Amino acid sequence: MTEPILRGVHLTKRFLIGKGVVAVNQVSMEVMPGEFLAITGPSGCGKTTLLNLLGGLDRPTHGEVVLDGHKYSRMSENQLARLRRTKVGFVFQFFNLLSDLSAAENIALPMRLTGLSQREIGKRVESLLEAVGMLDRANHSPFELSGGEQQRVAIARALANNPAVVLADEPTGNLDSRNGQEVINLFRKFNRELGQTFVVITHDPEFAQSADRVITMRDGRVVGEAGHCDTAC
Amino acid sequence: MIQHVKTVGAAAASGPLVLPLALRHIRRNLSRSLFLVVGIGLLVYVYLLSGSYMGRATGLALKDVAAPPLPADMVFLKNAGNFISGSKALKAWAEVNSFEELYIWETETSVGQVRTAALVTDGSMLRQRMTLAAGQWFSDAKQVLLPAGLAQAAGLGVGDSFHLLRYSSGRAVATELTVIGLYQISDLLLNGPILAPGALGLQGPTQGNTIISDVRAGRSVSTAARKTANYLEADRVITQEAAREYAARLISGSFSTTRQAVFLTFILGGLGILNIKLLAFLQRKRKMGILKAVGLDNVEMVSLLLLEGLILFLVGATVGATAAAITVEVLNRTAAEPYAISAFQLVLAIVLAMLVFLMAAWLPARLCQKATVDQLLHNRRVYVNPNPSCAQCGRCGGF
Repeated sequence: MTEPILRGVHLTKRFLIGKGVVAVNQVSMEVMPGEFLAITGPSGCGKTTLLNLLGGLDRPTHGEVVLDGHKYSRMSENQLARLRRTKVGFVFQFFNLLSDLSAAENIALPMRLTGLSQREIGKRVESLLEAVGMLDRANHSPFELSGGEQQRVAIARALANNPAVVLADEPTGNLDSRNGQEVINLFRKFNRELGQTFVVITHDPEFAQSADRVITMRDGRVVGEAGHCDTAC
Repeated sequence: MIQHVKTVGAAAASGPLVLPLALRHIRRNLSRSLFLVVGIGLLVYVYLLSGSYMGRATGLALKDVAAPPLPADMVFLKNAGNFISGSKALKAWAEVNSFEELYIWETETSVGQVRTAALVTDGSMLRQRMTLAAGQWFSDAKQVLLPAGLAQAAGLGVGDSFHLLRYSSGRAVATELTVIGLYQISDLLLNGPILAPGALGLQGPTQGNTIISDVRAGRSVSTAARKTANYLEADRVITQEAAREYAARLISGSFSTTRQAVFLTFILGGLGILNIKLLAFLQRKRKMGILKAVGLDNVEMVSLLLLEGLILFLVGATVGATAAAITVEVLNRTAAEPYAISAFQLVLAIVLAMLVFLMAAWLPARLCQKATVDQLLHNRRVYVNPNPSCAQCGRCGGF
């Protein structure tokens, strides 16, 4: 039986705002290797907080996250950072590319942290740029790229180190429908062709429809779960 | 094909990632970086120039103090009058040191009372006589009669002038004295010299200080001063070297306001730099968040911030030191007395500027270290102490 690549166990996150807000409340979930999981729900229901907990960007108040056998609670901040650079890729709603760097340099950034040789980095960047259809825009700065192009570069960056899981927070939320569709297609392509595991937060029904499984959240809790296929679920 | 990757990759392959990132950030934020460089440069410049000015003023003052030294070892007493009248300790010292007796006498001369003190190694001075061997008696307060033996040893003759250090009103001043005559002291009975050669010091008008010298052969001035001081605690014993040091301290003390101003400049400059660094941190929160998200650990994040600061500091310090050196060079073309920047001043300026910069860089680095990716990416407040109680208190407002 295949082990889940990512597992959240009784995750709770309480923010100390006023009397305290419980953004995520006792959420347990598993993500299988190669799975395309979508998380939906109304704004403020705790989706992004849950994603941050799963990606090790934030620490849960209670509960445990296990990524590829690594328990976050037993790791220091630096260990967590090193785990993120190799095992997790992030795609954000607002792209979050470094404006000081070109498209190619943005993609190269996570690889440079792992100590890959210049030659390997160059080859990998080239193949990723080609995969996202941005080879001709490699040396452009982020502000010279459209929103859709920036998001494609962000996806390539997330995939740079062949991460165990890519976590995406509303990747089409800031794009028009055409660019949004291109991004959805890219996610599908990398999931099906490369077997890349994705956890995606989305409000886009079409995007959710593309996923293998959809988790619905409300008020910090998982209130529904539905599968669209049985291939990797 | 992908030139940029290769360009940046070259640095990444050979060294840590933070250096090219730091350089890139400095280049992209050139105006702010230049502002910081100018700030640091100004601190170093002000420090070095003020130090050079103070050093020059001290040197000028000491030049007066450092009048040509007497060839004989001299010990000066602050208040010889008191010393003479209450000289039991010195009498004891004279006995211990093989001087049989201390003689002090006053003589009425044509120019007033002359007070003389002598340490005598043998004989009696009950019936002594001072006779002029050459020159004449006093006709002015700045004139001095020397014992013929001392004058010979010092290479001084009638009409020669020399400088004598005097401690007066809390300041060391040099007095120019002119040798008006040479004398010999003879025992009326034995008709011969009764003082050991060189055992007698100078004598002169009672205006100013009476001088005693212990010029026994082989005794250094510092030894004589120290030995005398042991028995004369109430009196200040000043050698020429000590006088110079004292004068240097006095002059240095007179620059305390200048020093405080320079110190204040450093503090204010440091606060300004801290402000700029904090502003830079606030404006770069998102970028920091991205870097953290892609896997930069805290050490690398802090290194990045400190390295940026270090580069700017080094450039600024170099610019400031170079500007100060050029200014000094220009000033020296017209100034009669040269300005100078000592190596010690340079090192101290760089160390102080570095401390200021490190202190200014510490808070942003600490904030960046403690911030979560979520706080950075979503511009949420960051507290220096990540402990929840810090955020709950929130009095500092976070950054």
